[in-house]
Amino acid sequence: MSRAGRGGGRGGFTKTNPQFASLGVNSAEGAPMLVTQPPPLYPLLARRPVPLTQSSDLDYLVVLRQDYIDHMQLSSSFLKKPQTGTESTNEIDRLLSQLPQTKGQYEWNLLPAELRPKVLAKRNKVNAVSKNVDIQETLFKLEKMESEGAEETKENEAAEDDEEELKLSEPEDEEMDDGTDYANNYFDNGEAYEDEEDNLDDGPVY
Amino acid sequence: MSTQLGKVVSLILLERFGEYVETVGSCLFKKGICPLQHIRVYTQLPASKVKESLCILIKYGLVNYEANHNRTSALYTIQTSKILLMLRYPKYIRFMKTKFGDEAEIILEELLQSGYCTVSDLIIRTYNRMGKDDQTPTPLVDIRDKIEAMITARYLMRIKLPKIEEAVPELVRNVQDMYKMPEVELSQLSKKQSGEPNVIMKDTGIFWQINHDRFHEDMRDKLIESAIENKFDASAAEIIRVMLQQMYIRTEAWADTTNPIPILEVKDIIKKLHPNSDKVAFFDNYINIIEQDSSNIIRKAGEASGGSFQIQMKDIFTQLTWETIQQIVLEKFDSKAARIFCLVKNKSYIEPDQIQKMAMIPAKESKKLTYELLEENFLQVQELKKAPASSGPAKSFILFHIDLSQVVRMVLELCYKSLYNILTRRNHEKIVNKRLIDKKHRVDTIALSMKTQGASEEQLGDIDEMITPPEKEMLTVIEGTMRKLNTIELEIDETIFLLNTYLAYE
Repeated sequence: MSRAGRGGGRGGFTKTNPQFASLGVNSAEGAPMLVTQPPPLYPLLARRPVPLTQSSDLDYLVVLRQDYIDHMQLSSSFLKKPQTGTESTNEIDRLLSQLPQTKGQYEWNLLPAELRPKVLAKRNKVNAVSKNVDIQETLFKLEKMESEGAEETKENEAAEDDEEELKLSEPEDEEMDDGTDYANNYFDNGEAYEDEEDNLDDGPVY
Repeated sequence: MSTQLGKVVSLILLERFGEYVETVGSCLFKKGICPLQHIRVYTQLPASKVKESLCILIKYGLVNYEANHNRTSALYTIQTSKILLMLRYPKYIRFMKTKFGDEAEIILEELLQSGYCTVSDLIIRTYNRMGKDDQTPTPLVDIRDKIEAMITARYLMRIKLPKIEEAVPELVRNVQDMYKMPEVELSQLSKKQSGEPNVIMKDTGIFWQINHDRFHEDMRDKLIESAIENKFDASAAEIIRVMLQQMYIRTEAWADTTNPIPILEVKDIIKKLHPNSDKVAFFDNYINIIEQDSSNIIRKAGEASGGSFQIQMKDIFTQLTWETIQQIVLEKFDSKAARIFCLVKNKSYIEPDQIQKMAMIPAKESKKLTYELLEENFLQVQELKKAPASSGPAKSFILFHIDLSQVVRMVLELCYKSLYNILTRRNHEKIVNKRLIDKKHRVDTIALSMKTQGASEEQLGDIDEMITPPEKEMLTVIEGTMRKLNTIELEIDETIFLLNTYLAYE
């Protein structure tokens, strides 16, 4: 073999000179210079980007986009982080913070139970049961009120009291119906452990 | 799912939902499928905020959940594609406006702002909104009819509902009723609208959301039409429009190739729409030209009854994607590189020597450009090794080629990167000029309140002068920059749409 004399320098893994040449690698020409500096943070652009075409159509889209974002930022879905430390001196910020924060309304039956706030999770059950009864009763009471007319306010208070009593008494009834409480789940998965503490940090509840 | 995409997603969330939601969103992006406890530990946010953020994200369809193995708690997954689609909302809204009119625009806007909604709620909100904008509100009946039209056209669809009440409800879609308009009683509706409490609507619990896919179909058709218009003329575009319209009768919306469309049918419709126009007179010529075009838009399927044609949806989008990428190469590397790119595309596999000869570019320059393209991943290298002969040096060929789907993915990445840059730049501009923007805002509010109180022209002028001329100049500059950045955002989304459609067809 003619190549045997060249020694093992050229293994199967390296490329031969003609191969390098075909890839464009020549001896010293074009070899990169030693770079001692970091590249610039904002290198010069080689080419300018094409200017944008302006059209009323696009402008309208921009307006729509801004409208949507403005609306979102004012809606209950925009959760602001309370600013700590530096009290904002701007009037606007102060005025904005005075605006009543509307709590978001969610359809709880579409969400996992673990996301519900604790109070709601408990009350939800009661409402579901007593809903029909309540409406009937309050309607009845309202009718009564109309007929009596004059003593409206007093009656009203009484009605409200009644309602509260109703709500309070309802859950007990439910448990009595069950007879035993074996069916109730007392398992605590530890979820609620930190909840209370965290809620304290939240500041006032609106 | 790249880091670049993650950054864009978190900026989009930040702009629309605030910091808490953004933190939760980017946590979900990094972690993938994640239970509530992990999110809380990872984000270090108060539990109530994490829960509320998740509620919001689920409400807008940006996060999905499923039960874990013992069905006690949920696992959350972020829907990155849905978040990116939020950039397309303005386009949806404008499209509705052109198709169904001004009421539909407000209806869609209201729906997008609330995530999902019942029809009766939507009607009332639209009605109130029209009143607020000082328009004479259209009667409730008309709004209902508009919504019904939108539902029958499948722009809106019902959301998934839980089958049974559980700790983690399993949401199922009722396919049968997906596009069925619920009963809405107008008498009840007007009662509720006038603020009467305790009005129970019949459609409570039937929520609607938008059907992205349906909007994309229309955007796709629009894209094809405008492409044809650019290549041929408006009449050709009109013919294609009618063909696409006829396509929906026979074919699934996202099929690669449509079922054959009889050409006489198209001709009849065109005749009805534009009697005595060029479109009718030169109809056959137009069809011939479009068919013989190199970009394979339509293909003859049969000769019977004047011939029937298939629209090659997939081919059209492959063609459009090629054009887009060639244009990108042209703008990024200039015309000589574009010529090389074109050459490699046409030859599919080509040796470096051949490139130099066929592109008629000097050897050194051609090498430089080819490697530049290779470095930026617009070209790929394939090495072919010949089995070693008994004598002579082992030979191997180096071939350049283009892997389109890989290039498309890479260009998508580039799009995300520029989106991120633009969003960051805009935030930066906002922070730098915060004082000035706030001042303008303040002056505007004061002026508005004075106006409503009936202040004189002089007073209003005084308020207006609170902003000095140099400040005014600055403000116009800022406004211009913002508008430009917003426009770019919409334009990039256009490219993303095209590339994603190509990937969907692939």
